[in-house]
Amino acid sequence: MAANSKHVVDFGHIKSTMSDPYKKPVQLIDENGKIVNKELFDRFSDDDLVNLMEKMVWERALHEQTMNFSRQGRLGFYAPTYGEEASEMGIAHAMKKQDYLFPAYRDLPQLIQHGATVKEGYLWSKGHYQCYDYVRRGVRAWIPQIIIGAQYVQMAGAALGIKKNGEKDTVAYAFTGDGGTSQGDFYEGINFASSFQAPAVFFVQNNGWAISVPRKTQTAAETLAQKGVASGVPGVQVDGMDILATYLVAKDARDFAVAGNGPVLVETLTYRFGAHSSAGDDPSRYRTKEEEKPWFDKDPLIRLRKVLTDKKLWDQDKEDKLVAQYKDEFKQAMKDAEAAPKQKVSDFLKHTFEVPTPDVAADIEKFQAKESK
Amino acid sequence: MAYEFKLPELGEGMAEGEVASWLVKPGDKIKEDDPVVEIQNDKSVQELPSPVAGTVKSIEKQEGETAEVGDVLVVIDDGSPDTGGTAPAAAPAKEEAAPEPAKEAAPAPAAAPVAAAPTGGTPAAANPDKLVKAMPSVRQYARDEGVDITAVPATGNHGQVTKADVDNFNPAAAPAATPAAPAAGPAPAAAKATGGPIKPYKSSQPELETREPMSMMRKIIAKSMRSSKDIAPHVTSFDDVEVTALMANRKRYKEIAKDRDIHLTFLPYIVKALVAVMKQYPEFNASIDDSTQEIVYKHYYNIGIATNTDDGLYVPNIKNADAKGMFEIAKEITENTQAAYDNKLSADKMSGGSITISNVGSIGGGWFTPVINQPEVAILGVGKIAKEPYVDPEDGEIKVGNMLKLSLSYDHRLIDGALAQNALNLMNKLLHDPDMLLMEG
Repeated sequence: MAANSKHVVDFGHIKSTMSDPYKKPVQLIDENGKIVNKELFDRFSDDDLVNLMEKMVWERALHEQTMNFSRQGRLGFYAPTYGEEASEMGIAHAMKKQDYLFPAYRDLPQLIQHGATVKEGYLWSKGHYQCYDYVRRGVRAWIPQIIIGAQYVQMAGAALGIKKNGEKDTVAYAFTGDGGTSQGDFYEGINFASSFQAPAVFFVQNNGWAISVPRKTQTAAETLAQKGVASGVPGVQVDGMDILATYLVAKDARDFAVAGNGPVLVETLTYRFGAHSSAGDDPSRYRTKEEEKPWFDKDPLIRLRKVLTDKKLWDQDKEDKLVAQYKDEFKQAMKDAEAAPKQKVSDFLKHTFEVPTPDVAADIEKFQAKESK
Repeated sequence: MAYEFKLPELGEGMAEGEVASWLVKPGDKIKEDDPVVEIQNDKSVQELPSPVAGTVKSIEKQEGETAEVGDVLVVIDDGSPDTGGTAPAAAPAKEEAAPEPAKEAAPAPAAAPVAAAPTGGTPAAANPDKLVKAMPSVRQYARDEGVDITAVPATGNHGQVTKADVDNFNPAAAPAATPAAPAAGPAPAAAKATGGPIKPYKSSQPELETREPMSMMRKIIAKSMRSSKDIAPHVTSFDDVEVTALMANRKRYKEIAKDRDIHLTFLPYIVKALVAVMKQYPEFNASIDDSTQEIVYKHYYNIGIATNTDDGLYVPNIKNADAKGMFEIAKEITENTQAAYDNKLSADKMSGGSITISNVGSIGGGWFTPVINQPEVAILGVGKIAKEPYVDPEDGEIKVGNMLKLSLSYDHRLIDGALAQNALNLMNKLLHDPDMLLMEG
């Protein structure tokens, strides 16, 4: 990616003053596809722009096809990512292979971008232990955390490990949502990482809703980014519907942490277009069409599609072909996931500890005896 | 080997769903992910896409039928070979297929005892080794109440023992741990005050009766009506209004409405009058939050209109009725009614109501006692307009009046009788003189 010369966000300044000098969240293109910061926009080559658009189209196609699988009864838990493409792909684009990723349950797309396969994503949803096979291929990522906020503490530990082992050019990432910032784990995680000045980049994808609890009743804090103040972590808000802005801020955050300056907290302002999960949540019970409308207008694909179309780098035909190609890949991934061997209890237990504890060892024996009958 | 598309669990704890409509018929060729069926589940409808491509062979659950999770909905010939199927999608299904024929061969006897046990409330023998499914809070509750949870019949989803099961449990009726003849019927003294045990209906002449399963919609209505009466102490105040002037007004504008393809009934007038009443008496546009002991006042005016269809009762509401004109409201009522008939009402249309109108006047009848649509706190019952002798207060003369019957049920936790009567008086004034409605509405 182009020019590294100048940073978009001065995390050092935020950290030393513990103020937020950015009155407005960082933005490069507005919802009408208008380029509002030409200088920063020009850092992206045509190839960069097309690449980022393709990633968002991929994530949306993944969402659509996965929702179908869910309605067909072929998946377990699934948290729709519809609307959060810029936030998730912008950040994923700034990650490097050697980085450690601690996703939450809405972060399957980043996990797959980081090296897991779609098949493994589906196996995770189905509760199959083989979802974790990517670690054998050297992908540094935990499986998506279901416990709200717990990954923040685990990630702080990994970040400490990076520092202790002296790993170069490596950071750890954790994701949570707006609801996650109310958890004790959130504070413990950022505080501990900050206390040790570990290379940790914390993301809060603020999509407006923690299931049915709106952001405004979640906390009296004006922004979630400012929650870093208490533990000495600089925080910043970015327009999470603008993938270019999200990418640049995520990249700055990484650069800052890699340089040994300690952790960073980034709040992406995004919106959950659909339900909280496939498990029967119906957003029309707690929010209105009037509230949703302006957010749909901010759809991250619309604005970048407009920019690319104006530059003659994109057209509907290209997008349709890509979507069809992606969906075929997802269908194959689902077939592969369904062909995985049926999970046995003993398989599951064997993957709990590297060296089973005596209790677990006894259970493995017990279940293996049962299963061989 | 054809593909059997089974009803998936579309929501957490969903046990069954009703087939709302089929989007395909036998013989149809379909592609993967084509929508095939709409499933109704707790008042919202979901479209299910096909997992495979092929030809629809047979439809196993007809429209209106209730399917349990796992029941085959439709069989699709996907062209996969009978043995050694290469389609991996079918593989896991086949593995599990072995025990199934037995289940399917005799579905009735297999299902009957399971279903009878919970609904009949026949207590199981206490057995400390029995695996019980229950939430920790329910287990604690059972311990506190001195109830052996292993003996409590489960009625919850997936065989879970619920708090209500513990409440309804009658240890006197439980057989001893060693199998013995079950005691005949629960002893009334032991029944808990809350709820009471589910009593089976016993008939003296079953040969003259038939039994039909309740539709999903009927079950939902039954449950919500019962819980509304449990939650809210209902009081109903009755009144009648002389509406000759209103009738004349409607007659005048009905024609103009017709030119615009709008069917103007009395309902929009009542909607507008209710808005004015709620503005004056905000208690009627409120809900009670029992968890915090707070009164929630609503600053929007969404007027629900109970709509009767062949499937059951729906209550879509007119959103922000205070900001809409009479014609606009009339049009929306017609659209909502049509959507209800077509089974196309979204959940959004039916939530967030302020107050409800239940109108039986078009059929006939006078006063009645409507049940509040929770979590609202009042409902207005509208009867027919009857020609009756009426003393005109202006000149004291007896005239033939056109009397509209109003029945206002309200939640006495929040609304007292005097307040309700004041509200009815204002309603009376507005409907008696539609010009007033213009001033207040």
